[in-house]
Amino acid sequence: MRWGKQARPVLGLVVLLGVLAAASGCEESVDPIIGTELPFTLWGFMNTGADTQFVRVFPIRDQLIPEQGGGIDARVFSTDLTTGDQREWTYEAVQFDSLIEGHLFWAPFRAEHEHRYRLEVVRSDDATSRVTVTVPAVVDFQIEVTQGSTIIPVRIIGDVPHLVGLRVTYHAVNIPPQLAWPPGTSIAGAVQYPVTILYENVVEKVDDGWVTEIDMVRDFIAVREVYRLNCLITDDRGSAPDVWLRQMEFSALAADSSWAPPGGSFEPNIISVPGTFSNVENGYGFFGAGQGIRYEWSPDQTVSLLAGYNFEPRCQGLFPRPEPECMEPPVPCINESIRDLWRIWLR
Amino acid sequence: MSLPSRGLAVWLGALTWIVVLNASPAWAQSAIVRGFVTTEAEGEALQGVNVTLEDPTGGRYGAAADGNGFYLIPGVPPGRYLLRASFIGFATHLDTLDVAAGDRLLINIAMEAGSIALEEIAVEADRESGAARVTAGLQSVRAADIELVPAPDVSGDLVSYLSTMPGVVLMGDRGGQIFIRGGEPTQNLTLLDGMDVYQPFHILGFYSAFPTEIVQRADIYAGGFGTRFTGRVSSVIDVQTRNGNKRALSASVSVSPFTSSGRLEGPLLKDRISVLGVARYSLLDQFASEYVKAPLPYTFNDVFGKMHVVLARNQQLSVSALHTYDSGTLISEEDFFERNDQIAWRNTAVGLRYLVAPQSLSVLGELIVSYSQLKSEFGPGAVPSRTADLETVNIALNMTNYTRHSEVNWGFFFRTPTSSSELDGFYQNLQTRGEASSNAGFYLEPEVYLGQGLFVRPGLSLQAYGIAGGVIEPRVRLRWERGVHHWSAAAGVYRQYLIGLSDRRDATSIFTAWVETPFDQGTRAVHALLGYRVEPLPGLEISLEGFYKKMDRLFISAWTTFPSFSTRLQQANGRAAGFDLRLEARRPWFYGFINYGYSSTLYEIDPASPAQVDPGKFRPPHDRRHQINLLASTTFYGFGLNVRWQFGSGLPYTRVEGFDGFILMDGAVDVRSVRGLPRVIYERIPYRAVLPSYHRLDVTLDRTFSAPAGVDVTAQVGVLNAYDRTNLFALDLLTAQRTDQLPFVPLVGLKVEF
Repeated sequence: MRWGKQARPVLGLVVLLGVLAAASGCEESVDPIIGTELPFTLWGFMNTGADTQFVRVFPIRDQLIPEQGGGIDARVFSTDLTTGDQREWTYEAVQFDSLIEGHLFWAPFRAEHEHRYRLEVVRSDDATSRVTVTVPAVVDFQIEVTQGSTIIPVRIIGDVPHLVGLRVTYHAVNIPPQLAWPPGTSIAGAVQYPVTILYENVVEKVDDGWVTEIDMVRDFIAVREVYRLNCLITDDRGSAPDVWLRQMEFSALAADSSWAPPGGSFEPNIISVPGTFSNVENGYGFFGAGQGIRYEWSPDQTVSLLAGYNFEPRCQGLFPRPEPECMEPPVPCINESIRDLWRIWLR
Repeated sequence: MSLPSRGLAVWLGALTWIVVLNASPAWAQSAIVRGFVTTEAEGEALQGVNVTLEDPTGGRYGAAADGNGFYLIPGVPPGRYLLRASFIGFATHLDTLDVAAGDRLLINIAMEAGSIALEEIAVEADRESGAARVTAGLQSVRAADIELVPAPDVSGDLVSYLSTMPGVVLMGDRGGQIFIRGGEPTQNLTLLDGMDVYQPFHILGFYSAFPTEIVQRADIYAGGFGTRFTGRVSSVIDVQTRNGNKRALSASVSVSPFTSSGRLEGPLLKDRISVLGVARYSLLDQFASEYVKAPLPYTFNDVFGKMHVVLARNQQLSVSALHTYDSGTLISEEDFFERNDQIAWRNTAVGLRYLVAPQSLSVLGELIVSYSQLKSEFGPGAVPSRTADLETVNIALNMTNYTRHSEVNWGFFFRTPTSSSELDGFYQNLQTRGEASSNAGFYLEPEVYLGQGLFVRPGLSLQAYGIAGGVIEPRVRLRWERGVHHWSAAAGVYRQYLIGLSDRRDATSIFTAWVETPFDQGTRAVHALLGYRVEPLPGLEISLEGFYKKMDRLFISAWTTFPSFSTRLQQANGRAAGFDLRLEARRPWFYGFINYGYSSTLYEIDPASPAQVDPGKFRPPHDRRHQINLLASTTFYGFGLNVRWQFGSGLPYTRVEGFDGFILMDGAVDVRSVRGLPRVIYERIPYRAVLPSYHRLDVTLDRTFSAPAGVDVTAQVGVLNAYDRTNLFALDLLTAQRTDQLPFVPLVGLKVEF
C-alpha cells in the first residue's frame, strides 16, 4: 500500500512522458526563400568623359552562391532617345571570387550631354529591367591652389543637378624614425597609405553651380587618425611628425537629376536596402549619368607643413630620445576593414 | 512652479505629515516592537515570518518580516503580550513580552527548523513564493523553488526558474538574452544585493550569475514595479543573496559535464561575521562538447563573495562582490563565410549595504554604495573590432517608516553612468564615443491600508538625468485580499535614458553597446496590470493576470540589407499585451504547476524617424505568442524526480525574396573593377513569417546520501530534451543554414557537501 501511494505520481509522470514523446520529436523544416519576379539589378552610369560605357548586371537569384562560369541569361540594349540610335551591348564575364561573378556589358560610344538614354536588360523569357537617364549639361571647374594657404577654394560651374562623390584624397606616407632604442630594435619601412576625405557635406549650391573649400588642416586630423589606427605612427599628439604629404587629388561627379540618395546621404546601411535608391523599373539598382571631374596636384611644402605634415625624421643622434616613436617605432597593422573605410566623416 | 517642483512639494508634504503623525503625543504613548528574524541553524535572514503580539483579551498586533528578516510592530499599547513568530517549515517561536509606554523594543528572533506539515494550511498564507503567487506582476522565488526545475547541474540556477515563467522569453538555450513581457534584455533592471548587473545571463542559457547557492530570494517584477526601481522600462529582477552561515563552516563541490562549482561559507566570528564564496567554471570545451556530440564553443565562469557583519543588534553591514566572464561564438561551426566572430563580456560589481533600525524611530534605513562595470567585445578571434564599456557608481538611501496602518518607503539615489564604445564593421563608419552623465532622484511610496483588505501603494519618483532635466514617474500598486480571493493591480510611467544597442535581426549577434538615448526624454513606457488569484482548495492556487505595456521612443536597428551591427537607429514605438494563467498544486508528496502565457508585441517605426522602409506595425523577433510550462516534482523512497516540459510558439522572422549584388554608386564608380557585395533581398515587411515552435522535456532524478562525518553526497541523473526534439536556435537567411539547440543530452551530476 505504501509502495502504491509513493509510486502513483511516478507512474503519472511516466505516462506524461510517454504522451509527450509520442506527440513530438520531429524536425520542422524552414524555407525562408520566397522568390521574386524581378529579373535584374543594374549598376553603372553614362560617363561623358569615357568613350566606352559599362553596366554591371546581377541576376536576381534564389540562392546566395552563384553557379561558377554559368554566364548570365541577359542581353543589354541602349537607345539614345534624342537621336533614336540603338545598339546592343557586349557581354564580358569578370570573375572576382566565389561569391561575386561580374556580368559586365559594354558599348563603345560617348554619352552626349543633355541626351536622354534608355537602357534595357532582357532575359530570354522577355522579363526586362529598364532605366531611363538624362545626361546633364557640360560643366567646368576651378581649383585655386595658392601658396601659403591651407584653404583651397573649389568652384564647379554649370547646370549640375547633383554633385556626388565629392572627395579629396591625400596621398601620404609615414616617415619611420631613423633610429630606435634599445639598439637593435627593428624599424619597419615607410608605407604609402592614401586617405580619402568625403566632402559631400561641405559643398554648397550657388547660382552658377557649386562651391566648396578644401580645408587641409581639418583633414589632417582624419589622416592622422587613420594612420594611428593602422599603426603607421606611434605618436598621436597634436602634430604627428611622422606623416608627409606627397600629392592631393580632388574628384567629383556632376550627376543627373536622378542621382539623389534618400536623405541626401550615401549611407550604405540605408541605400543598400533594395529599392531605396533605385531608378530601375522592374528591377533593382541604379544607373545614372554624369561628367567626371578630377584634378591632381603636389602641394607646396610650406602648405603641407602648415597643415600639420612633417617630413623630418626624428630619433637621430647617439643618445636615446624619450619620444614614443623612438622607443617603440610603429609596426604597421593595416586593417583591411579600415582600408575599406574610405569614407571618413568629420564630425 | 514647474511640474517636478510641484510634485516634490506635494510628496514632501505627505512625508512631513507622516513624520508628524509618528511624533504625535498619542503615538508616543504606544510602543514599538521590532527586530530581525533569522534561522537558528545558519543565522540567515528569514522573509515572510508572521510576528504577532497577543494580549490576554485577545487583542492582536502583528507584522510580517521583510526581505531582510526585519519586522516592526508599531503602536503597541503598554501591557503583557505573548509574542508568536511562525513560518512554514519552522517551529513556532513563543515568548512573553512586557511592554511599557514609549518602549522601543528590539527583539531578534531565531527560528528553529520544525516539522510543520504543508497540510497545516494555517501557515500556508505565510508562503511568499510560488509559481501562481503573483501580485501585480511580482513573483518571488526562493532557492528551494529553483531546485525543483530540472537543470544540467545538481545545483540549480535562477535562470532555470525564469525560463518556466510565462511571459519570459529566451531566444534559445544559448545567447544569454531574456525578454520579459515584450521588453528587451537591456530594458530589464537586474540587481544583486542592490548592485546593477548589466548582462547577468551566461552565454549558455542554463546559467546566470545567480546559482542557487547564493540566492536567498529573487523578486521578479514582470512589470508594474514601484518607484524604488528606476532607470528601466520593462521589468526588474531583484536578487538578494544569502549572508552565509554564522554558526558553522560549510562547503560543497559539484561537478557535471557542463560545469564545476564550489561553495565555502562560515563564520569569521560566530553569530557576528560570516562569509560566503561561490565559484563556478564551465567545462564545455573540455567535457560537454564531446559528451553532447555538438559543438559548444563557449566559456563562462563566475565568482561571488560576500561578507556579512552584525554590527549591533539593530545594525548590519554586508559587502558583496561579483565577477562573471563569458566568451564564445554563436555562429555555426560550418559557417559558409568562415566567420569566427567571438563575443565576450565581463561583469564586475562591488557593493556595500548598511542596514539600520534606529533605536528611537519606527524606521528601517538602508544605504547602498556600489560600483558596477560591464566590458564587452566582439570581433574575429583575439582582435575585437567592437568594444563597449559601461560603468556606474550607485549610491542609494532607502528608508521605510512604519505607522499603524501604513508603511512609507522613500529614498534618494545618485548614479554616474559612464559608457564608452568603439564600433566598426565591414560597412560601418568609424565611431568612437564616450558619455558620462549623472542621475539623481528621490522617491516616495507609502503603502496605506484602507480597510476591507485593500492596500494601496501610490508612488512618485522625481529624478534628473544629465541630458533630460527633471522628470516625474507616477506609479501605483494595489492589492485587495478577501479571504481566498486576491486582486491586484499596478500602473505606472517608466523612463530609461541609458539604452542598450544590439542587432536584434540576427540571433547570433548579441553584442550590446550601452549609450545614452539620443533624445532628451528617453525611452518611455506605461504599464497597466490587473490580476486575480484564488485558492479554491487547500494546496491549490490559480492566478490570472493581464498586462499592457506601451513603449515610446524605442531604438531599433535601421532596417538594412546587411545583417550587421548598426549604430544607425530607427525610432520606434511599441506595445505588448497579454495574460498569464497559472495553476499550482502543492501536496506533501507532490508539487507541480502548469502555466500558459499569451503575449503579443508589436513595434511601429515612429513617423518622425528617418526610415527608408516603413514596414508598418510588425512583430519584433522576440514576439513569442504562446508559451506553456509544466513542472512536476515528487519524492519517493528518498529520490527526487523532477520533470519539466516547455512549449513556445515560433518566433517571427523575415523571409528572403532573393539575392543579387550591391555596388555603392556614390560617385564616378568604375563598375569594371569594383567587386560589389552580395546582397540579400528581404521581404519588404519584416518578421511576417514564423519559425517552428519550440518544445522540450527535461527530467532529473536525484538522491542525497548521508556519509560519515556529516558529509552529504547528492547524485543526479537525467536527460535534457528527452525526446530529442530538433529545436531551431538561429537561421542564417543568407545561406539558409540552421543552428539547432541542444539535442538529447543525458545528465550525470555529483555534489558533495560538508
